[in-house]
Amino acid sequence: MKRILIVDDDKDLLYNLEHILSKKGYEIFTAANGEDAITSLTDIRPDLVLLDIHAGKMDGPQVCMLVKANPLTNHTPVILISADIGNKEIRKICKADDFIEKPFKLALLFLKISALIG
Amino acid sequence: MLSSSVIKILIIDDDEDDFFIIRDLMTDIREYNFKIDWCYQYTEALHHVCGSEYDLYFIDYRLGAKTGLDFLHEAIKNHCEEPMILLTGKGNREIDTLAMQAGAVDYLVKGELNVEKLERCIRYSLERAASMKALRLNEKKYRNIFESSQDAIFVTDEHFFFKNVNKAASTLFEYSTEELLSMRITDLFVDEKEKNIFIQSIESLTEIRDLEVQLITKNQETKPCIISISKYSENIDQHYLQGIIHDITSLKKAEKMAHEAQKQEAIERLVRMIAHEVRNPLSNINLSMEVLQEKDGDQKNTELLNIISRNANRINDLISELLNFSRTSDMFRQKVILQDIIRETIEAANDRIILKKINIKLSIEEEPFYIEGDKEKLKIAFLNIIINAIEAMEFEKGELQVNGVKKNQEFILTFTDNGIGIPQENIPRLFEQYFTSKKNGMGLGLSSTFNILRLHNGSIAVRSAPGIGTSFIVTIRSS
Repeated sequence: MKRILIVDDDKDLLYNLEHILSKKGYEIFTAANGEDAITSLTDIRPDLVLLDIHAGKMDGPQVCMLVKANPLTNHTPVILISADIGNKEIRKICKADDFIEKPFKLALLFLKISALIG
Repeated sequence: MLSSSVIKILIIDDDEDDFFIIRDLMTDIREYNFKIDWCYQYTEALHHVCGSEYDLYFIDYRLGAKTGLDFLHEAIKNHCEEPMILLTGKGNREIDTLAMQAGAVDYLVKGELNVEKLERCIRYSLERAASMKALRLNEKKYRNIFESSQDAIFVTDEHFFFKNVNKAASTLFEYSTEELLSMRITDLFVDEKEKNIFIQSIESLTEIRDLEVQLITKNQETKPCIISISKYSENIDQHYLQGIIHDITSLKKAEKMAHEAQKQEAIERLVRMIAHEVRNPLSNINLSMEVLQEKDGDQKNTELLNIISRNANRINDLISELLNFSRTSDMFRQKVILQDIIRETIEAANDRIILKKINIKLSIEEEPFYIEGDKEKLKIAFLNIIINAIEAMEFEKGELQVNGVKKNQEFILTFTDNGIGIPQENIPRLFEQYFTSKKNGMGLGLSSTFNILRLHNGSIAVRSAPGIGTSFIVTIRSS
């Protein structure tokens, strides 16, 4: 089973995504903020990270950059979630692999995830 | 004033004896080095004077047919700046006065000549001529400043009548100098209250600095101005006002634009913040909804869930339209390549294209087409067209064709879909603000597009056949 780490400070979003993606057959781990995400990254070794741009104590893009900078984790694909169109530049700057905008259709999310990890 | 340089003197006299007498007297004057010449011909002497060939002239009262006074008059008319001393046979108060009026700097009686008188006269004349010259130069300099100033400079008497105005004043208020000199500065005020404040301030203070006032020109145009004034007195009973008026029309305009821009910016920030805040909970509603819809097969609940879903989507579309619309106000012009904008727009629509499995075909001329415009706004304009096209097409069956060709100075961009089409009666209203056939739209999308294209020297046309498809034809002129 592929592992997905979801990082978001919105509890409702975490609940929904965990529920939905588990049903799709992924093993789900969650973190409520960037700092916790970084800590658990090396333990969990997820196959994909879903990262909200606003993720509490540590900023989303910062987490992304850390993931990509660490040689142990930089192969892990990251999808950035955002509520604002204007943030396309951020994606390029922190080298996220894809980008999805809230509110999104689940079908689109599934497509993007399977494109990266199957 | 002791001078080491040679002082050139010309004696204009029809009697050579006079010349000898004066020349001999002058040799006893040790303080100066003289070079003394004699000329007895009127015209030739005038020639020398006009050529400024000498530093000082002695002119006899009798010069043959004409008099020394005639000579003085003509010399002055020809702008002679060097000192001229009139020589007469007998002392005559009348001639004295006439000589000074004619422009002589002094006059000497030939019979009473001695070395001291001569030396004193020469010294005085040279000094006076030098200070007159310096004065004239100074006056010229200040007059130059006065006249060439871009701001209006003026002097009025204590009753506010103009006594003196410069060219800028005339230009600013569109009156001729003569007209202004018969007016009062208070006539230029638009507002009665402002005028009274002005008058009262002058009465109680000695100066006003940078007072903002509304003044009116001859052609009834109101100009915002800044006026600075100070009082001065020449005698106990003669008081004047002098001052400067600075036209701040352009300053005010710039201020207003900056203010508008700030307001606009504040609105945009607010809208963005709200949109952001709304989208988060909206997203959660949608996700939970999708989960419920999958689970529950009961038809009644399905309909209710659909209602929630539709309305959540509507809210989202409203937010998007609002965001796009609030951005149309300020234009940021730069040189951009149309092909880049098209490419980036399609990228922005990519998610929707993937989701609905639209087949998109691009056929755009490669040679870069440059236009002067706002990249982000143009992207919004094109995005609205593309989104409309996508929504009109069916899942998995949609085909969007985007063509681009250059024709003369214009680029013609066509978006063709095979969607549901637009009924004929809606076509004339398509680009109207708030017109929409969508149940969940505000009708701002295509009107935004229309406005943005208009601001970019462009236009848009539409052709549609219900059930077959729609074509949007965008034309943009190059910069």
